[in-house]
Amino acid sequence: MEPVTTDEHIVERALTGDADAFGEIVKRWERRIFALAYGMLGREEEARDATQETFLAAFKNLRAFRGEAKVSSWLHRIAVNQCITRQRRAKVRSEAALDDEEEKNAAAFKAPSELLPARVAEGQERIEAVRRAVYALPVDLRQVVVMKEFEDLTFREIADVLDLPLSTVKSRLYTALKQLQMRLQKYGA
Amino acid sequence: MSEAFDPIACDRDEDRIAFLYGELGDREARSFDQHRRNCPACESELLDLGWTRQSIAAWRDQSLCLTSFASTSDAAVAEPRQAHRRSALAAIRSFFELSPLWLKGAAGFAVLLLCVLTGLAISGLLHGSHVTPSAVTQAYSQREFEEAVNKKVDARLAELASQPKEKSAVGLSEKNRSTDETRPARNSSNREMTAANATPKKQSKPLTRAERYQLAADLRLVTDEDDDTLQLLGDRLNRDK
Repeated sequence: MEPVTTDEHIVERALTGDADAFGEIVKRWERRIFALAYGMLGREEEARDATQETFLAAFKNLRAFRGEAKVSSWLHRIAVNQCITRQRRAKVRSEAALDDEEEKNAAAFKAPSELLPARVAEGQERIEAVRRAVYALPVDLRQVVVMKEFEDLTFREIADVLDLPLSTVKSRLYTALKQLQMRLQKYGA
Repeated sequence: MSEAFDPIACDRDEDRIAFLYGELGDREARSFDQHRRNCPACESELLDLGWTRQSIAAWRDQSLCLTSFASTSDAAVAEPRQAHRRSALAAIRSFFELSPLWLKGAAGFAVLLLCVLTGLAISGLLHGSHVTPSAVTQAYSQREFEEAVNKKVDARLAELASQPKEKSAVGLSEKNRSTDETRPARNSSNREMTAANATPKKQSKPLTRAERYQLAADLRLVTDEDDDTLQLLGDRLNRDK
């Protein structure tokens, strides 16, 4: 049985000029990075773009990787930054649309039974409610939830990615889950 | 001393969340597990947070299934290959499944027509191969036919040659007379010429007296007074000949 090549070894090969080495990194992590981006941004196209930009930025800054953190953490950090940058750009471009969206979300939480059509399945309603609730969270809380639920990163890994203390990560995740719980209870899901 | 039920007082939020996600160490997990059995607040919080996690997981699973990113990374490369591996028979089958009824009928008719034409062509080739030996026999029978024809022609010529001359001469003059009757415009010189030409050429035997007289009467050349002249004339004609 061949030994599994670690990400760090692959990065070392990429740094020595191996053209296929970074492709191996992409193949290993593209799905998880996409899941993270999708959880953060909520749209497939934007998640694709963010994923591509993440690996592009990683390739450009490959020599800056010093091996102090894990490659996965490093990639996740880049992905989170890309997603946050995208969200800020979108917020600057359409401030009014974001407010309208927040109002819609709030209205949905207040009286969901009156707004949603009757034909929508109950399970689908619940999922939609969760989606709205997650995207109604502040960015710093949302990214912790997404990294934990979509990527299944440990608290330590999230702390490394976000460069936060471990307790802060736990506290943010707890706060995020409590807010989601309150929103979903109001929604009735 | 047991802790009173007070959700605000019990501020082990981080332990709850770590316990919820299974990130407490073994010793810490046993300690908190013991605590939550005696803390309704923690027990209630854990239930609520667990229900919220399930909701998030449902949304996550649906989101990742609907996105096609995984297919592009894993199966997209295989899809063209699989499509490429589709056999022509499968493509034809899918074509007929998707095509309308009239197109199916037209295709079936075209196939049937092609089969019929192919069968006719094959049968034509086989028939042609059988015709080839008969061509030889036909050539053989053609030669025989020609020989038979030549024989018959020769026999007919001999028969015609053996026929009496006067019959042929009289028949010829009668024929000319009937022809003249149908053509009244023909002048008498032609008639005389025809009769005169016909009689000496066909005649191989000298005319008898009666024949000479009849001929002259027909031609209205002589009267009764010229009998002797006719006889002399006949002798002269025979002598000249």
